[in-house]
Amino acid sequence: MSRPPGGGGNALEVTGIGRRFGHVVALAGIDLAVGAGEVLTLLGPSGSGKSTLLKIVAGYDRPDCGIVRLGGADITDVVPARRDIGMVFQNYALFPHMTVAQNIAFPLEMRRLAKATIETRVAEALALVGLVGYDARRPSQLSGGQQQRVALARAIVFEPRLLLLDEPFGALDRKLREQMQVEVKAIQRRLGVTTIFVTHDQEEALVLSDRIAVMEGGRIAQVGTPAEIYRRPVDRFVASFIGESNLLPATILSASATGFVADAGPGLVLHARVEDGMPRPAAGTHVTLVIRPEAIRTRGAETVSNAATARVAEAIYVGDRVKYRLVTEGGTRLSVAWPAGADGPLATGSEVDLDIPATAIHWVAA
Amino acid sequence: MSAATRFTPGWAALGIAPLCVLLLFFVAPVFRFLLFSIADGTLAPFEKALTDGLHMLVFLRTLEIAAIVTVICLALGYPFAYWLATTTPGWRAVGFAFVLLPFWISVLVRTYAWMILLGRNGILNRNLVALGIVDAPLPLLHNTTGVVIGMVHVLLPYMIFPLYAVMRRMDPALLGAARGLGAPGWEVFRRVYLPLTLPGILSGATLVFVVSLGFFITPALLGGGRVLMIGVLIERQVRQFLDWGLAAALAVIVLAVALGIYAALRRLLKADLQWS
Repeated sequence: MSRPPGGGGNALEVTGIGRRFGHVVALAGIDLAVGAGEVLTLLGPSGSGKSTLLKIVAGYDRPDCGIVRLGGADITDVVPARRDIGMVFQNYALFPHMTVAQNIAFPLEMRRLAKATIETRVAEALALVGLVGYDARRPSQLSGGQQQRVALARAIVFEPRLLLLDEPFGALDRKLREQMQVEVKAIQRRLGVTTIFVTHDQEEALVLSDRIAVMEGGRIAQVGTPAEIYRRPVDRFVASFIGESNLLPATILSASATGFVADAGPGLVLHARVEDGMPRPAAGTHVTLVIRPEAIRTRGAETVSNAATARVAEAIYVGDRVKYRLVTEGGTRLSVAWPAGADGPLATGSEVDLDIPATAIHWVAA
Repeated sequence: MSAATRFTPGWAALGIAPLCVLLLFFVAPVFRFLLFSIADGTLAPFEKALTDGLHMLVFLRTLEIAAIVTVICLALGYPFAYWLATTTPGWRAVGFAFVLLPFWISVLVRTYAWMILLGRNGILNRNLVALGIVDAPLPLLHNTTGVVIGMVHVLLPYMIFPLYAVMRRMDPALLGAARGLGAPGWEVFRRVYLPLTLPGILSGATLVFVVSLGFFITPALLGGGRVLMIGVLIERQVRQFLDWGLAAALAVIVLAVALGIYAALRRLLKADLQWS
């Protein structure tokens, strides 16, 4: 669907990767290419196969079939030690008996670099992750965020051909997590290292990635930029996994060159526009309409695409926005999210006139 | 290891009865025995213990045998503990049975079993000769070899358990990380696995060494009176020469050495291995 950005070609290519554990199919024929310098996120719920795929790329697990290529060379049977891949583990896996500096020096020592070179590179790596002066500390004397910086420094200090991040922010509290996400992204940009990032947190994926591969049941459901995935999910799973959305079962009444008309429940006939080049549903088919909560507007003076009237069933104040659960006159439930106005949220039970823009309605198979 | 143990008064009360039993039937008699060394008001027994060439010789021999036994136990116990720690639960149960069954059998019984196995006309020698592997029976009994074999057999579990404990706690991700960072197998072992299992090695080695120092039954029977370890010597002083003062002085010295080694280990573990 979407090609890796940049003209540098593909750093990593996996082709036809399959892996089963007993009767459980962990990966069912994965094809994926990661462009040089790109950050690609494997996003999916636990059990979707994303960790298995990462292990196969890192060399900790062997696929039953398929090929892993790094920089064009087949590395499927190459041991981890010879792959030149830097990895940040879920719980960092710092060597507890070594100091911070010894941890970071480890991959350089394994590459038999000169002592002076090692010292310089370790100092540079410490500076890069903002841990100057922490050389002599033990991992047990560091906070979670600091441990993660050490793990990152250790993973990039030997200039790996690929950087793998396995749920690296899971152990951090929310505020620190957001800060580390920004820092990791900045460091990645600066080094330009090709990166694969594994997470089950869709928000994190949207923040960090150039492209996202959404995984489900051992397959890649969709690959695309965060905006593509968010705005044009290919199926119900992707639509519900990334962000919040209203998923409305509907029947296509008619379809034209530019859009379609769908019956989405009593009193809710929606006119939708389809972008050029995107598939159109056939009349009479049953589909699921995907409408993001923030795309639904209150009806003002401007042009109305699809008008509806609804009652506020619940209002949840979340600071910058208010999330409403609405029920239309025909009984259809809708979630919307609007900026919190100066006069506070709408009262429960009050009526609102809605406008659902034709461009905000996306369809996927039922 | 450090702050985890906490005692509440209720639980402490439960310990009083066993404590009394121990004090009355173990600590008091041992203490009474050790007091023989200064019973006549002088340090003469100690002087005799430390200046007599024979005693020093026996003492050095004891340290030597204890060291050999410790090294062999480590060499055998380390791979076995590794296998125990990494194998499937089923095999682990089998492995533990092999370690524990002999552990539960009386030292005396096991030592007699070794006498049958290792003797000049023992099962081992008869088969070796019959198979033509050796021309004449090997001297395996009534010498240091026999004593070492018997002691290793008795003491191996003391090495395996502490090793197994640290190996089970090992985070496999650390080994994976080392491999991913470019370490070949033996570097993973040398730089990560070995240092991280060092507390287990030190605990096991200390335990085996210290217990070896006081060994009596095995050297007495398998050594056939020809391998004089300090325990055997002490027993002789009491039983044959009725020199309770000298026996007690020798015992005090062994105890001091054992406690010294134990204290040194504690310091080492505390100072150098804080990360664990």
